[in-house]
Order: sequence, then C-alpha cells, then structure tokens
Amino acid sequence: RLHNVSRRRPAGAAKFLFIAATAVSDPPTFYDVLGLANNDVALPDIKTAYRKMARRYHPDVCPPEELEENTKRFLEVQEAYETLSDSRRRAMYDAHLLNFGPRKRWDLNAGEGVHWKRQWEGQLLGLQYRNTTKDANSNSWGARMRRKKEQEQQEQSS
Amino acid sequence: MAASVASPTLPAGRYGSSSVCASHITSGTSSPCASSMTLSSCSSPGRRIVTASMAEIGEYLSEEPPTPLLDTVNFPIHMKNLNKLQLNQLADELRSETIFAVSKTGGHLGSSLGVVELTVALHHVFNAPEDRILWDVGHQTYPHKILTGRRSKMPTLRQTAGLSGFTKRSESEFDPFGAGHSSTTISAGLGMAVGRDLKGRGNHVIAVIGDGAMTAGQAYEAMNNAGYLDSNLIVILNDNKQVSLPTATLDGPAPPVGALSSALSRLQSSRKLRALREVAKGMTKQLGGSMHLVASKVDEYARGMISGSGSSLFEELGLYYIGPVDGHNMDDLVTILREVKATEQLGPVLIHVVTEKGRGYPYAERAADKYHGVVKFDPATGKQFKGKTATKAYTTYYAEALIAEAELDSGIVGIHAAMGGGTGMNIFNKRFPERCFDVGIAEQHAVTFAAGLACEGMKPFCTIYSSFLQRAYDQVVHDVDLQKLPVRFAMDRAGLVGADGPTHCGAFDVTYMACLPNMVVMAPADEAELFHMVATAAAIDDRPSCFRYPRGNGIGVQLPMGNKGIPLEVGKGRILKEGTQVALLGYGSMVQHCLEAHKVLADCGISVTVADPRFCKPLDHGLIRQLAKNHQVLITVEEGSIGGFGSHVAQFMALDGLLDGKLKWRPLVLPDRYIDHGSPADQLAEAGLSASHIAATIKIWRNFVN
Repeated sequence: RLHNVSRRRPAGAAKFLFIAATAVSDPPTFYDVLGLANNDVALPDIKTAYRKMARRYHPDVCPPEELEENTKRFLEVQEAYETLSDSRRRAMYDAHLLNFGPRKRWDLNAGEGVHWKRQWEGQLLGLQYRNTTKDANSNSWGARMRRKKEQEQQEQSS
Repeated sequence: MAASVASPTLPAGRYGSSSVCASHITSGTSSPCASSMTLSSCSSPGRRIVTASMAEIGEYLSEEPPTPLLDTVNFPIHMKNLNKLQLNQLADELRSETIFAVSKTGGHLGSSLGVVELTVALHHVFNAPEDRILWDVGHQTYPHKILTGRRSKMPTLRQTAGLSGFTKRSESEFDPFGAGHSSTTISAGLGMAVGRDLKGRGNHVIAVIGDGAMTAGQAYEAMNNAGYLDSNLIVILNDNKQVSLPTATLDGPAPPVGALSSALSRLQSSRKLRALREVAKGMTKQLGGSMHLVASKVDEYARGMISGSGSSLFEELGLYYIGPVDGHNMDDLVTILREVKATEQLGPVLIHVVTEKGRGYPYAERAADKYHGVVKFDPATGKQFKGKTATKAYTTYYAEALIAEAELDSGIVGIHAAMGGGTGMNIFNKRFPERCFDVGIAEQHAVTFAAGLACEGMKPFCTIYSSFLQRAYDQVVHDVDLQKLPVRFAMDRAGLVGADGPTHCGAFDVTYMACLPNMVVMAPADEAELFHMVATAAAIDDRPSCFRYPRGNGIGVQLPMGNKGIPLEVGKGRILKEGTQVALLGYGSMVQHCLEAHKVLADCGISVTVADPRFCKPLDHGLIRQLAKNHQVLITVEEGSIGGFGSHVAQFMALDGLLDGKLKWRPLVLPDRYIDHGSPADQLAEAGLSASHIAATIKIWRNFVN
C-alpha cells in the first residue's frame, strides 16, 4: 500500500521537523526524546527505549484526535534513534551537545556532510567531462560566442 | 498560516543554555568567552571550556580581538596567496570584525554572518573587480565591503555621507551593481555576461542570490533566459531557509513560505527522508497494522527526491546544478569555485550553498529573527540598545487598526510580501492567522491575488512598502484599477526612510497612484488619522483605495476608542490653523512640519493658515477654492516627487480659474534627484522640506513683496 503515493506536495512533515528542530525555548536532546535517563547508555538500552517510544507514538495505535501530535513525536523519535544508533553519528552528536548544548540546531545532514561531498564531487567530475563535449553539440547563443572567441584567439596566436 | 511553536512536553535537556564561540578558542589569539556551564557537568572527555575574565553572563567577547591576518588584507589581491588554514583564520577575524562593526552602527547582521566563508572563498578564487561579483539585495555585503578597501569606513555605515548599507556602483568599483530590492542579480549578471561575450572579454560573472529572493518571479525569468542563452554565468544560491522577513513570526521561527522551500529542503535532505520512509515502513510491518497516515506523510516526503533522474527545478531551467554544499566549509567552497572557474564551456551553473544565518554569533544563532536587522548592541551580551519611545510606530498602529476593523468585519484579509515584521502583519497574523497571507517576495502576485480576493467579495488590505509596490505597478493599473476592484493598498515607508537610503525611499507613490482614474488616494496627518483612514478604506467597497504613511513613530495624539477609527467623508479635508496671508496645504505627515513652520512664522508676524487636505484624490475642491480666494500665497507641501499632490492641486486650480488672479502658488516637493541614506533629519534638510525650509520659503516671499 506504501506504493500508492498521493500526488500532493509534502509541505507538512518538513514543516514539523523544521519547527521541532528550531524551537526558541530549550529543546530536548535526543536522549530525552527516547526517555533515557543519561547519555552513557549502551546500544541495547537505546534500542529498547526506542521501541517503547515508537510504540507509544506510532500513529497506527493512537486515537484520531491525537494523530497530528503523535505523528510529530514519532518523527522526532525516529530522528533521535537514527542518530544515536549509529556510532559515528552518535559521537558527532555528543560532541555537538558538549560544545553547543541542545539549543543549537543539530542537523542530521551535518553527519551527512560526507554524502553531500560525494555528491558534488561527482557533479564536478560531470562538469569536467561536459567541458570537452558541451559546445560541440550545441548551437546556443553562448556556444556560438565561445566558438567565435576561440577562433579569434587561434587566429591571433597563429 | 499559523506559525505557533508547540513547546515540547518532554523534559528539558541536561546541558543548560550555554553556547560557545568555537572560533576564537582555536585561534588562540584571545581568551574565549565565559560559559554558564560548569566543568563538573561535562561527563565526557574532549574540549574543555575555559572561563575567562569577560562579562559574567556574556557568551561572546566584549572587546574586539586582534585581527592580524585581516590587517594585511586591504583588497582581494592581498588574499591570493593564503593557504587553507589562513583562509579559515581570515574568516574568523572577518566574522568578529563584522560583529563589532555592526554593534557600533546598527544594520543587517545575521545575513552577513552567514556568508563570511563564501565571501572569503569568492574573493580568494576570483579576481574582483574584473570578475563581477553581484550580491542580491546587498545587505549581506558587510564582509565584502571590509575586504574591498572599505574597512576603515565601516564606522560610517548607513550614516549621512557614509557607506551605504547595500551595494552601490558609485561607492566602489567592487560593487558592479546596486541593489536594495531583491531578485535582480541573476538578470543583471546575465546582462553582464552577455555584454562580456559581445565585447570578447574573458572575466567571470558570479551572482549570489538567497533562497528568499528566489521566490520572486524575476529570478525565474532570468534563469529561464540564462538557460536559453547558455552564456557562462555562475549563480550561487545562498540557502539558509530564511524566506520571509523578519525570519520569524511573533511566536517563533516562521516555516518557510511556499512550495519552493520544500523543494530546496528535498534537495538537501534526500537521504534522510528515504531512510525515514524505510523505517516507518518497517515499524508498521512490525506492528502488523495496515499502512497509515504517518507512512503516507513520510512517503509524500520521500517521493519528491527519489525521482531517479536526479534532475531538479534548476536543471529543468537549463542550469547545471552543483550541491548541496556546506557553506561554512572553506575547503569545499574553494574546491568547487576553483573547478567551476577553470571550466571553459560552462554555460549557466547554479551552486547550491547551504548556510546558517547569524552563524558564529551565539545570540544571533538562537534568536528567532537571527538578528536580521539590529540597532547598536553590546557584543558580549547581545543586548540591543533600543530606546523607549512614548508612541509606537505607524506600522504598529496600522496593524492595530486593521485588527480592530477585522474584528467587526470577517471579510477583511491582510496580504504582504515576505515582510511580516516590517509591515506589522505579524501582529495581524497572530490575531487572525487564517486571514493573513504572506506570498513570499512576490509583489506582482500579491496585487493580482488581492484582486482575485476582491472579486469574491473579500476586503483585501495589500500591505506593501511604497517602494516595493513599484514592482507591481502594472498589476495595480491593469488588474485592480481598470476593473475598479476594491483592493486597499496600505503603503508603509512613504517618503524618506533614513538609513536604508534611496532604494527603500517611497518618493513616487502619490504620483503613480493619484494618476489612476479610479483610485482613492489619501494620507493621514498623524496616527489617529491613520486609524480613521483604515476605517475609511474598509468602507470604500466600490473602487480601489490607498493610503500612505511614513517610517517613524506617532506624534502622540489621542487614539480612537478601542482602536476603531471612524470612516472619513471622502474628498473632504480640514483646517488646522486659521490665518490670513499664507495658506499651507500639507499632505500627510508633512502637515506636522507645516504646523511647526506656522509657529516660527507667527513670531515673525506672518499669519498662516495650515490645512490638512486628507485626500489627494478626490481633492477637496471647496477647501482649495476657499484657500485660494482668501490668501495671497498658497503653498502645497508633500514628501513626494513632482507629479503628486501639488500637481493635482495645480491642475484643479488652473481649470477652475483660481490661477487667473493675484494668487501666488508654490509647490514644495522632493527635489529631482535621489536623496542618499542618512539620518531622517539630515535627509529632510537635504530635501529642503523641513519646517525651517518651509518657513524660509514664505519669508522669502514676504521679503520679495515688501
């Protein structure tokens, strides 16, 4: 059923995460969101806490009037678990808490920086490759001007 | 569009509210800031926070640290040989220099802090001024100005005869294009690129534009054309998720407006969404239930980016997309810019850079408005030195008046274009969240959108700055006035505006509104009149109407009860002071200066009548006839250009035969040139419209006659 996707624009959920992550008052840490008493918990405890929280807030098991709120909580729980269950991400998050406290926005993408870098490195490679063939196949105004300039430069140097 | 932030019910975090300015700890050149977090609560090893002898509660430095590297950079050419470590140090020094400079003068802070690394990277890689670097709006160019020979002039920022708060061609060759309004850079950049190509030159053109400015149509017009022409052009999209100004409502951060922001978010967070979707799917399976709404919500989310082809909006328009890039990582920025610079067959390229507004100054990072625009403040505590005034701003009074009208009339709605704070519509939004519409930086759309609302019997109040409404002029003429639709225009920042300068000055609205056949044009003399004019506009339901009010605070008159104004009789003015020799007809808040002049002249024995016409269209003919027949001199005064109130009065008098006798008529308007930024008093004096100028005009007449 997951594949019968609706065609509407996904503005709503993005809005929730954004608001949750940038609330002006002191926000809870991911440990708080999972209901953990302190930060030194091991992975099995984190998993147990996560299952408990997810079950509590999963929209399938909530009364309809609490749906929106629970959806929001559920997404928070998800983000918390995804960060704390990965040792590399957890280390970065702990360092972030130590240096900046819970108020400074923690971006899941901060840990995804590596992913971004891979992506734009690929795009730069594409740019390099494209540089050899782009204008040959194009009759755009820009391509014509570039060809003309190159011709003039060749004529000057010869 | 409610934006109230639900406070989390889970327990607060352990680490308290401290924050650390990391940059100066690493440079070792100055002692770091104090922290309210004690050492004992740090349970993990790692960075130790050292308390320093700074302000007890301060989270930033109280004195400007030394800037040894920045001291060696007067122009970008001095940055060419810096290595990566030095570039980072330069960015740190530039950041603290910006913070301390703005703390002394006031200005735009958050946006400048977000682009420090980008500015350094651009000037390191490219060769301004041969390479043209354009900054959209220009309010984020303080670091750019510091690096391009204007560091010593920063104390004069936004002051009379000082540095402009935006880019300005006449100020420096490093500012290739003036800005102030948004979304013009790609267009101008494309023009510069094509001009370069036609002249056979080889310089680069870089246009930096924010995600907010991207909501304006002109940006798309430009990208579409750029994609078609295929000329070499580098567009840098500075994405900090701040689409409206200020970047918050009264209750907290404003969720970005419009579908574009979600598209940009999708580009940024693609992997996260895919993962969330998988997890949600897994969870639901585990619980054995059927798919549910959360799964579909997460799914809607995920569907956007898993489009396989990887093409985004920008690629559809013909721009080669690179990103997202961490805009605070100097290495990444320099690597990408170098590669792009070296590509000959470039065409138009869009580099999507993600930054954080206010970055590097803890108070700005935490503030809901990210310290977008600030007055002078104390760097160590972030406290702004805002004076207490006896009266509120006209902007606030307008919002209160509109709320009072909207309480009684459910048809009243408010529209603004990404200026919730500047227009007071945040206040209206708090009271009537379903009836306040922020359309993003899209004035043209705002006006036609209002026209559509009016067709359905709603009473739209289009609240747009006088100078920004210029962008939507054809919509006002063609969509509203021609069809005689009852759209109300509330034009804030009419007349001279002080430190923002000529780009934000509302000099032309009387001229361009009063020449429209169906438009009712009025201006309040004080805040009480503003309340009445809001009520009048609400009551005018058969044609469009507009009113203008200046930047600044009220003069302190009694407000109507319950903030509810009484509709005025359209086309009727009033006499404020009776006299015999000279008649001063002051339009809008100018009449206050006329009253001051009246006092001065009374001491000289000249008897002056001061009248407030209230309406420029339709004019109070009876009042003008009376003034023309009973006085020797009639002077019209307005804070607007030629072609406005004075011209309409002259037209009427000429056709009515009032100029055929002995009457001397003189108009006082803004001079036929742009008035530079400065203090309001300086600007008024420069324009020749202060009370003493008005009095002097009359004295000259008197001396001439006698």
